[in-house]
Amino acid sequence: MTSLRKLERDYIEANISEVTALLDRVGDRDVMSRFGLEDQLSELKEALAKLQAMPPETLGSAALFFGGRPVVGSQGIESGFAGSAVGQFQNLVSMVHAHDTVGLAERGTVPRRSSSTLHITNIVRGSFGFLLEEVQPQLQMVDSSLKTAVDEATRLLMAFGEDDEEDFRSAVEEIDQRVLAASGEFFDLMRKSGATVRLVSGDTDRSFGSDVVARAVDRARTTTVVDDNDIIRGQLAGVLPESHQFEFRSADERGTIRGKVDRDLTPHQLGLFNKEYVNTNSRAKFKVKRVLRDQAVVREKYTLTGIEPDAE
Amino acid sequence: MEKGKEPKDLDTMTFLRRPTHARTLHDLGAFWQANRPVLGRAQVKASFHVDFLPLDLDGDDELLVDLTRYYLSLFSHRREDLVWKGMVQVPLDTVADDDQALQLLGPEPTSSDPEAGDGT
Repeated sequence: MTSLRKLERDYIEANISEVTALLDRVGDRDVMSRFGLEDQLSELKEALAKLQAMPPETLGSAALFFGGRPVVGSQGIESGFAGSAVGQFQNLVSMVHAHDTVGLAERGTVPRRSSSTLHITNIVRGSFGFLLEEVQPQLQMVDSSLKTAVDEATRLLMAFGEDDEEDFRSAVEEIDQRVLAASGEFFDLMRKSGATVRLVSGDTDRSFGSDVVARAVDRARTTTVVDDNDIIRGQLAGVLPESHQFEFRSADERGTIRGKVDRDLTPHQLGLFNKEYVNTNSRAKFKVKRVLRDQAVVREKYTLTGIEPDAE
Repeated sequence: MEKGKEPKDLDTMTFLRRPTHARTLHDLGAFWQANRPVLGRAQVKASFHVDFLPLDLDGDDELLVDLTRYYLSLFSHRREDLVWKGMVQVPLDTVADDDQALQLLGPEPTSSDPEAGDGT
């Protein structure tokens, strides 16, 4: 497949509305044209129904359209810019893929890079763009891990462009500093090159004009994600073994903390937590993800990883 | 022919004058229904591999402009890369030329072998 279904669907839907508007205008005034247009409309509706009846896509794909300084209409795009921009998008996808599958170290080689490779399978016009697709010899029944990574990378880039600061922060909370930096580099390249970008993936279609690019660069520059391991004194209020959630009353100024329990802990272990530690002085271990804006903590996410009696 | 693919049909915008006996919309409608084999889009496509899109030269001027604009936007470029497509204008009211062409082509092939071709 060398075109995104969403772009195909958009084209057919635009065509349907055009033909419908023409038919409205034609009315009974033009017998000849009406027959032609009615046939045209039913062909388009049939094509749309066929597209909608297709099984859901399971492989990763995204289209990146560029505009602005590096682009000459739909004729061409500066090769250096195009190579860097597509490369940085790929880099982001590889990092998200590694983050979700085997984990991503603070520095060093990004693991599983080869299995997260997208291929440029087509150029798309209407400014100038590239279609990037996962190339697999066989059909997949369920979403590939690369598709999940492309979808997540898309959501993350979109979050950088959101008006709402909270939406951005909650998206950043799910990633780590390297992924954040990779997103920042992508937008920084857009800003430095005077480029704009439109990203289409799955049902998502988002345009980043120069003001949105500037905001994204600023967010990436001033935001940091820090992963810590904290030990906190207090009392466990309880855990939900199946949904892996906890509530813990800390003895310090943090007050009551709520969050998820590490998936490595079994429901059986969590049952024991409820028996042995509820309303008892304990020391709980947490993985804490902090989102900092201009060095100030704006969000914290706690994941309970263990608990032990407080001897003191 | 594009990208080495055999086209399934020829897209045509046919600008037609109304026959003298079917000047009104009512008469034209009746005329159209009576001649579906050569005026119905589906029938024409099945018989001649021609996508027949008729436009009325004796109808509403503004509608004609609008419809021409729409069909031109549909057929003038390849959608995937915006490359211009060629268009050929063929006058149809040329009975003398048609007779000459038929003479040049000779008798219709009788073989059912598709390789023999029918000239479309």
